[in-house]
Amino acid sequence: MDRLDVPQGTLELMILTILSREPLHGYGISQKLAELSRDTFQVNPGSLFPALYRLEQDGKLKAEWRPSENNRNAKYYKLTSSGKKQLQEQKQRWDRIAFAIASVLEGA
Amino acid sequence: MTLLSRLKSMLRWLLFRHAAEQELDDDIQSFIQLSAAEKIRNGIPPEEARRLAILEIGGAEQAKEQVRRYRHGGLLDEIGRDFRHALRIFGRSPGFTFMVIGTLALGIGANAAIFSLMDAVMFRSLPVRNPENLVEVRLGARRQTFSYPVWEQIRDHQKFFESMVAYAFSDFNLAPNGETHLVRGLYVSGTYFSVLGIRPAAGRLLTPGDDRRGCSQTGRVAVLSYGFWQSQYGGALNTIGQPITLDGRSFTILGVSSPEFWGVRVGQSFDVAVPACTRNDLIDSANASWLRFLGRLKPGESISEAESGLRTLQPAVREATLPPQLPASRAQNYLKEPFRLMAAAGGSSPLRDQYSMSLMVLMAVVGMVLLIASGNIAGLLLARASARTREIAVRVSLGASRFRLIRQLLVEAVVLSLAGSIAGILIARLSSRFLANQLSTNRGRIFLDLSLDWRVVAFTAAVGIMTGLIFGIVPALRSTQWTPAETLRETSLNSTASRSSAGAGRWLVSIQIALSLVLVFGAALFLRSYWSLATGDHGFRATNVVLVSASLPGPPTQAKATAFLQTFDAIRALHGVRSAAYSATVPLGDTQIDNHIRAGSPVHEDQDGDVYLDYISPGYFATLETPLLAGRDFDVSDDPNADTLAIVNETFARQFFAGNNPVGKTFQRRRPNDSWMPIQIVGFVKDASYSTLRESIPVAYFPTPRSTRGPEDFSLAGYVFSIRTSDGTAAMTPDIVKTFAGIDKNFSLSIDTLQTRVEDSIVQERMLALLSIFFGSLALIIAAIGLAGLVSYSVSRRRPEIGIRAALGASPASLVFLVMRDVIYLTACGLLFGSIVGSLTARLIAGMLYQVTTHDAKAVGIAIATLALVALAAGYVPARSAAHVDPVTCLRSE
Repeated sequence: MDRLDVPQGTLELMILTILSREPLHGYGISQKLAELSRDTFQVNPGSLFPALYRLEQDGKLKAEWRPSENNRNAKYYKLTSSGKKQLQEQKQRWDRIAFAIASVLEGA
Repeated sequence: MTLLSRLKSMLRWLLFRHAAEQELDDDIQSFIQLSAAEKIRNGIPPEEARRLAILEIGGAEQAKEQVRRYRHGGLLDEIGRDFRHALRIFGRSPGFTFMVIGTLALGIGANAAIFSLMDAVMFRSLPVRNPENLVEVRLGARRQTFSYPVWEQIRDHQKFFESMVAYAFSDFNLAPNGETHLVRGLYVSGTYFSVLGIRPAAGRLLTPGDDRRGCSQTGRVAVLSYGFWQSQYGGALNTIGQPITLDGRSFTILGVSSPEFWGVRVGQSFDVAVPACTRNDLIDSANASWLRFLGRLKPGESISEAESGLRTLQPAVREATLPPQLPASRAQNYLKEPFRLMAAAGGSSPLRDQYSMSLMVLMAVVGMVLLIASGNIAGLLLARASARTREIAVRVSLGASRFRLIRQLLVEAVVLSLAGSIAGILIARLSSRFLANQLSTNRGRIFLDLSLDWRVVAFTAAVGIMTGLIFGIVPALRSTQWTPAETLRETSLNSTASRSSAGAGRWLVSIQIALSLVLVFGAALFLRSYWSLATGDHGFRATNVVLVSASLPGPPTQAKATAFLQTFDAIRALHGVRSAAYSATVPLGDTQIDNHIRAGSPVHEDQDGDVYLDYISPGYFATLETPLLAGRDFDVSDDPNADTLAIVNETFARQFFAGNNPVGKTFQRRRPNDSWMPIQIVGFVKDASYSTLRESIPVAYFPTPRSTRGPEDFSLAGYVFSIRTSDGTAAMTPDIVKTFAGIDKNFSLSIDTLQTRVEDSIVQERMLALLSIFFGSLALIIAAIGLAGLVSYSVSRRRPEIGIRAALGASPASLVFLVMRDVIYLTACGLLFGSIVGSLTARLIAGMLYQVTTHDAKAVGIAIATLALVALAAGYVPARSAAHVDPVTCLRSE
């Protein structure tokens, strides 16, 4: 099966969800996303990096440089408290959307 | 996210860009390495793994570019980079850049110069504290001057103003006798400087204590303006306390006002200010209206509140100041019209009424010149853009969006026009001062505050940016509309450029021709109007006439009357004087005297009206060469006190005698005491200008009295001697001055010529004509260059086609015609469009023209012929090269 691009507007939610478990670097996030979505979603670094930098700028993420698994320094992103709040809000919003879509599809 | 933190991250990005860039680069590199490492673990050879990883990320540079775009301040940063890029690009072609910026500097500079004048004349606030609270007191719609008793009444009883000032303009004579040395003076209330918030530059300024009745006897004091202090006293501190002679009286200099204060009337600065109480001949007169009032509103008070307060006070003021001897018929009209208040933040100014229209016309003219110049620059950028298509195509393939490219090209255009604006402001600083000086005349120095203010800077910057967008937008849209593949293919095949790129240039040229036609037409109208004024018959001949305004101090006496008569005889006896006369005023004089008359036979109450007067000696018409149409001139043999004779002009006869010869008829003249005096008409003269060259007004001439007729005889205050010399006028001046001094050494004289008065009176028309010709020619030259450029570009573009035609046997003449056909078509379109616009806009200036209609055949003919000739010539020069196209070279290069 072909991989799909991440649906519009959900990339931030997925990044926040992935980072809520453990701090990760950019490549790690893209791998995790593929793994968790069972290889359905793939994220283009051209979209991933702007999203990460935007979240960092807005204070949702904090970054630190530390050695990665291949002993090279990588930038690890971590949720801040404001990021956790954002995740809660976006998750609730997404749940409502998903529920609404499901209701519409079943009702039809 | 708060604004503050947003600003912080923006700042961080702008200040620590290098570190941030480095971090971004490291982040992306680590992504690539991690990705490659994983691929190597999966058995892909290292080289291949790395290549795949980079491919996956979609290009490291493109990913970075994406991130940069999302940063706060990213847009600012990108535009900054566009600026730097633009500067680099222009640095590479200095010749092109210099030419474009030079053209723009001239165009924008002209706009900024005219706007500085408009700003100084029309928009600026007075150089005083809180000018927005100042209001001017008027009576009814027009009257602005009041008597000293009225001032005292309002000043002492008003409660609605925070404070008030009174002031009056007056020229002061610095010279004790002989030729006058006039300075611009002010009579002011003691509150003047403190209410306007003016600080002293030296000494102290006037206070209410200096302005008390009786001050003309005890301690007369004066304040100098900063400019006068500098020019007359070199800014010496010991000036304070020194005496200064004004109109023969001595004043003590108290202090100097601050440098930025020039007065409260635009165009008129002051040299010396003295307290109003020193005008002891007027302060008790309820008849003399000479003071202007300004009030400062209380905080929060509206103009209408203060106005109704002032009107409540009006009956009491009227009661207290009614002149005792005023006839009943006039007493009922005394201060009858309601007081009115006008906002006075900009000050009142006759200059503003006089010049606003001309300045707006000039503003439109320079605006059009700038548009025409923008057309040429757009053409140049268009040509450059087609040379840059390759660069643009490469940038598109590297991921630049069309928006991004258009922005880059517009930023380049704005960089050019901003550089032009900066140079333009410098040009404007020099030329606006020059223009203002052109408006000053010998007798009326015009002072304008032309220092840079925010309005001029904002206007120039706005014009610069607008201009940049106007001339940048077409080339920007044009050069970004192809897909890169098309462009790269086209340019790599070295084929001709796309057809449409020349199309844009074509309509630009047509518009330029149309606008030039409008300007040339306008210039022709202004020139013809000026010419009619300058050389037309105004009922007198101005050359070789010296005018001497002579006055003697003190009240009218028999001795004064005799002195004028003796001088009259002595001047006529001078060698080199062909004829001479003296009169109360002369054509284009400073004095206007009017009187109410009634005429008709028999005398009829409703056949009355206002006429203008002059008191003239025998020989006045002969000296000015005003033709006598019927009857006779006054004669020395007339009864010395015959004040019942008059000579009238054509307009007078038209208005009161149906245009018939009025000699022998009578009319009645109202005396100051309201009685009517019968007058007999003995002569009839051609209309001669009275106060302006433009209008014809009814004038009655009375003989100058040869003896005094009592204290009401104002006419003996001074006379103007008109002296027609046989040759040059300047050489006569010393003899004339000597003659006056020989009769009475107390004569004050001010000397000029009738020719100067004529020139001074049409200085505005001259400036309009000169500037419109200058800008019209400039427009013509710019449009011609634009057209020539377009034609030579089109010849080079059509070289292959022309080559084929030449090879097939077309004659050189037919090849030139092939190109010229286009020129003729464009010119015709431009002329047609320009004629329509021109005939519409000409109506707007109809009121400014003298004896020229807006559809004046000569002006239309001159304009169209000039434009057609210039356009055809500009097209023909490059078109000729089409005839020399060598078919062989041309076909080979294909």
